[in-house]
Amino acid sequence: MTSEWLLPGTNSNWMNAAGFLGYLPPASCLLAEKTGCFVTPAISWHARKPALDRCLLDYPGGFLLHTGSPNDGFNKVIKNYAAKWRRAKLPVWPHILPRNGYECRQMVQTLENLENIGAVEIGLPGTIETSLVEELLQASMGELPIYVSVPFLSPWQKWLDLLRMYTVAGIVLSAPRGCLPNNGSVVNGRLFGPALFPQLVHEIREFKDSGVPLIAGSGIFSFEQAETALQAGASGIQVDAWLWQLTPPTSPSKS
Amino acid sequence: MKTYSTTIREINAGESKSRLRITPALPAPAQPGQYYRAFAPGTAQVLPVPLYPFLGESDSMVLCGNFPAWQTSAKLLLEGPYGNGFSSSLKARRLLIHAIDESLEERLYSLAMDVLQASADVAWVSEALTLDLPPQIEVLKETEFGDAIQWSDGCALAVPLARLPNLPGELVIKPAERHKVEVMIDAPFVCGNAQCGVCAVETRSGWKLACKEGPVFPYGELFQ
Repeated sequence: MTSEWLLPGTNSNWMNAAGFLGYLPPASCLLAEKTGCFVTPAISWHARKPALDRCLLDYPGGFLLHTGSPNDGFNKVIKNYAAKWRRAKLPVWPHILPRNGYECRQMVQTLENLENIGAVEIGLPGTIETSLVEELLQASMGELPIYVSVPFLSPWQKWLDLLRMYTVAGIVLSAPRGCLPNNGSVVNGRLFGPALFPQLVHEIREFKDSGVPLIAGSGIFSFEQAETALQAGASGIQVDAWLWQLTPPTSPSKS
Repeated sequence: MKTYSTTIREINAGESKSRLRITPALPAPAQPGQYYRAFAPGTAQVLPVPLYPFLGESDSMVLCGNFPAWQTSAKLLLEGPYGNGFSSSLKARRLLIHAIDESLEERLYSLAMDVLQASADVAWVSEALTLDLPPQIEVLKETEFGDAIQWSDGCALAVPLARLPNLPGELVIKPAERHKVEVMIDAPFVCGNAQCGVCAVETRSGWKLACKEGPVFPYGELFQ
């Protein structure tokens, strides 16, 4: 049984995870008509270069991706994409990476003045101080629904009182972090893949009654898994690397 | 980008363990340097992998790359071709080929075959050749690279992304020779132009994504 209740800022409770479809909604994708909004890649206030040790490392059941979340910085991204987002068929959720309240306020206020922005998703590392979380939440308060994206398996639960107090629209349980050896050193990155699914469902069940809607944002690689996550108590689904898999063409030889 | 449904007919088609033959041949074959994203549905594969053209025949194609433990007769979805391959100007009268990492030699094979078909000369620099090359291709030692590049009027290199910053140190190319060199970069090409950034390459005009703006770059775009 799935929830009919709609999360604020979206047309359905299915969407892509940040960084898995680029800066513009694609003409078609695996989720097709199910998608209710479009989540952008991570956008920081200042431009970020790719990590020097960027890499993709496979392991059974998934992979570690370390990129450093490269992007052109908020102002350049807005300059390049705001008009295209305005014309998009789906509401857009910019995923922002503010480092302090000032950056957060600047970005949210700018987004409030753009058209077709459904909500703002704030990426929070799992390890930041509670005082900074409060600073960011305070700075984000305005007209748009605010979602926070946290790596699941991190101790984000310690912020639950704050998240409730600032009436956050939802918590995206996104890809957790992990480490793998690579070329003689150890790389820290985000983990993706179906192997994460059991832990995701466990976390949803544990915190489904926390008073803040949870979005299952990692480890979903089939519609059956999505349904399980919803039955476990998730209010929405974000799909990550499943979107990168190929689906058979509709005609026998090509699509 | 189009997706094609194919069938794996043979794995390890050559001596190397990283080639496979598929049918049918695709209507839009990849040019040397370009790639397809490949995915076998219904398997444990999580991410598509890039496959590169190796040999094209009338009814089948041989592709190469690092792929998971697929089985013959399995369905294989291919999307592409992606990226920019080697330029037509590289199909020179005298082409020099060298893979900085020998595991990448297969990816340059289709270029050599195209050039041979155009009756040009090909020289291949390798210390431990991993391919069976036709006798028309002269195989040289790495110590002969300097002389060979002077002889050539086009040069194709293949290099892993992690070794790219060290390329000028690993391979001395005189300034006067650099204009004729093109570099094919090996990186994870998984996201289908979603700009994940893992294949980002620092060029003289800023960061570029090798999946989209490469994998082949002019040497002069990468280094002075």
